[in-house]
Amino acid sequence: MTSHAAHIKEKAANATLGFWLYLMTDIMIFASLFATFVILRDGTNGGPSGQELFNLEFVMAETFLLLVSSFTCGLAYLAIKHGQKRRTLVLLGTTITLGIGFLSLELYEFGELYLAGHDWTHSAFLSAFFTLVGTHGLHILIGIIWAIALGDYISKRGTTPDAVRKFSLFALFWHFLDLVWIFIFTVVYLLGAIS
Amino acid sequence: MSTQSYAHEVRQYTIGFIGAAALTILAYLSVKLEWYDATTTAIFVLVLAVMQFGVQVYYFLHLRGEAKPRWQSWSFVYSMAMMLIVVCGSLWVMYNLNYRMGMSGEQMEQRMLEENKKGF
Repeated sequence: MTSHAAHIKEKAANATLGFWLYLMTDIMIFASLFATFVILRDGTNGGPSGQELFNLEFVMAETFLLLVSSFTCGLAYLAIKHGQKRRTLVLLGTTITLGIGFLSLELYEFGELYLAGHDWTHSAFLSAFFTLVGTHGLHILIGIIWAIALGDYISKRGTTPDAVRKFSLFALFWHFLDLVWIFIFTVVYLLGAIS
Repeated sequence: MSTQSYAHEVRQYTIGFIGAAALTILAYLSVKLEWYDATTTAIFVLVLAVMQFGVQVYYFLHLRGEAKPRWQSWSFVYSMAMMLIVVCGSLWVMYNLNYRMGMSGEQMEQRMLEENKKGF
């Protein structure tokens, strides 16, 4: 291995570890928001509970948009690793489209709640709900912007080692967001529909 | 890299995706069709969530076969432990608080609502 190749490899390993540590701290943000939500979920202040507000079919659509986008993101990472530029861009474009679809559904849901008078000022439950789900949505928005910038980079520079490294970090981020969503889906929506 | 390993990697992702999708649908159906009573369903969907978490960490995040000293794996274990302490600890504290006030969380909510109506 030439020293140049070794340098690239070390750079990639360091970048991955650094970004990974950021994700681990992001887990702590979500952990505290989840703890807050679970404690305050009964604090409806005489207003509606999750059972009356949430539409499970709608949330299933959101869940699958995000899950499929996580899958296509993984496939795009494999494609870029194997130097297939066209396939990478198509799969990344699919990921972005699905991500935008997810975010649109989420904003639509927020809008519906807001217009029906169930906004974050109404109760502790709704404050906690909007903060938790909104923080995740904000991450998704940042991810979409990142993905678009990444697509631009790859289309101009091709599947270089630098592009692969950048993409691997985005893939980590995007998979991480789907991991968080599993628990939002379960704790906020499914458990909300039971009680 | 050979095409053989490419196909293998795609298959790994596909397994992960199918597993995650199946677990999601299972959780949804158990709530929608009310297979079990409320408490059992709650435990059931939480177990499914943890299983899906495992599936995605394994197949999507590739948190396996890392070379020593395994910084990623250990920082992950540490975060998981901290997360459990934050979440379970908060729940425990609040439960204990309500218990010492001699009421359940629901009664506490009711009580606070009444106090709110009286004004401050």
